[in-house]
Amino acid sequence: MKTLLSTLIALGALTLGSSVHCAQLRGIVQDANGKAVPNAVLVAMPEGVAVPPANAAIEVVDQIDKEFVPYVKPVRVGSLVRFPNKDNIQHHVYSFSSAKKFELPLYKGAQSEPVRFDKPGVVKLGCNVHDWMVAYVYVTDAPYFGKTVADGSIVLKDLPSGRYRVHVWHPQVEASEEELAKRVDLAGGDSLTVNWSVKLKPAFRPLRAPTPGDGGYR
Amino acid sequence: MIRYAYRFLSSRVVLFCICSTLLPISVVRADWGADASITTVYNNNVNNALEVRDRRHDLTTTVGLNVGYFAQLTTNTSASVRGLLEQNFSAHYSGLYNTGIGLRAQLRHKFALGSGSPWLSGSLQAIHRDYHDQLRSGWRYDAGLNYGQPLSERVLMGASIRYDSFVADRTSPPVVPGFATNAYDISGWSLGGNGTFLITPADRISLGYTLRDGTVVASTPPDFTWFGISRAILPDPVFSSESLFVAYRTNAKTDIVSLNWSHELDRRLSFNFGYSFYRSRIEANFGNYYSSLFSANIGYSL
Repeated sequence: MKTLLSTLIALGALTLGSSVHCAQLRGIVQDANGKAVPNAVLVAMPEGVAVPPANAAIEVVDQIDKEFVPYVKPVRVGSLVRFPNKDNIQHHVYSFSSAKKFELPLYKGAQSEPVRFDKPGVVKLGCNVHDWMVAYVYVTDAPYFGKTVADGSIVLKDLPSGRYRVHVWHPQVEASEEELAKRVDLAGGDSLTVNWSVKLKPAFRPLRAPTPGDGGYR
Repeated sequence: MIRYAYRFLSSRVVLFCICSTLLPISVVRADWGADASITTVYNNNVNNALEVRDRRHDLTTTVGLNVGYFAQLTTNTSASVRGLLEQNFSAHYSGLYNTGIGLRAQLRHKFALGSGSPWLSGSLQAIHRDYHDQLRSGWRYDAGLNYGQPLSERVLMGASIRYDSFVADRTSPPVVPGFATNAYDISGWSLGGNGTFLITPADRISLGYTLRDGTVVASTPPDFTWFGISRAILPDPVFSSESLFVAYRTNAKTDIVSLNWSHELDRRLSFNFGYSFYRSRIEANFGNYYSSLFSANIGYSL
């Protein structure tokens, strides 16, 4: 009992201590008109220190109502991603992207084989049955990342003190990651906000809604 | 009596075919889908008259519903079968009111993986149209091959070849000795090409050209000069309110240029506007007739 109590006290002190020395980084991404940009990935890569090893996380990109959910999925290098099919029909997921070429031929159900994303980069997903289905897996070797929500903001918590190279990525952003990269210094207890104003290009994909004479399938 | 029995049975046969084709598929849990649409078309020469003074214009509204299933047969090949139901309303000619019920089957093959790969589809369609003007009622058959070649994520080029045929349910006794009366029995081959371009993520324009070679029906006031090039002749009560109109069936080559704009309001709903220009060149240099069609459509995927 005494041992358990001491362990809990030690763990509590460690947790308290680490949060005191950690900072938080808030990213806000807006387009050229000041409109919030959701689904933008914010990446914080520490500089001059060893990067914590990646956990073998298992992430999920669903297929619901013939759409990928979510539209953008940031993952750490080495992560496994499952592609459960929650529709009552077959999907055929594929990617031609150099960061990860793969194909999950026609399948139904939630028990698809996970795919390991072992190289950093952007992986564009498609469905060979439903051409309008498009999504992106953003694979990063940085330990701290997340994506913006509807108001265009994202908060990365528990970042150790130090210097970081931070950048954002979005499927429609015209500028390169290099152009959008910034360097920030975070000290313990800091709460820093970094803003990005980005120019977006249109995202084209086949129309899904019925049009006359298309004889098509949605 | 026999005539009515035939009409009754023919539409029931179509319904039976649709049901017997579609119902077993539900067992294998294929993907069901339904589209509803409302289309309004203004046609400035609905009777295909050569002379401007003989042209009659009309505004037709079509309420349509198609229900069916889709099945992915192999990695790159899919099949779909749809039951079609249409009700057409004419603003000026009650005889053109018609109900259509039919079936459409399509097989589509992609030549490689991905949205950028070319594809070939073949389709068969049979639809029975029941007109207020009973002489116009009959079966419309279409068989076609379509080829699509995406050039980029915004540009798609296509080509098609199609055969169409309309077979009227009934024929009238001869009205002009030596001429048949099945004026509405027409058929033809069409060859077309089109280009589709996404101007914004939600807006698509397409431009197409089709050449149709086959038989056509023109309704005009009686004119003996038509006799030399007509295959069938029949009085046409639909356009005869002020003076007698006669439907002449003849051969023609028709050039069709069409321009369409589709706007996707959301992933299930679209607004579509179109313009088509028809020029039909009647055989033996008899003359040309022209039509312009303006259309507006709302399509919804249920």
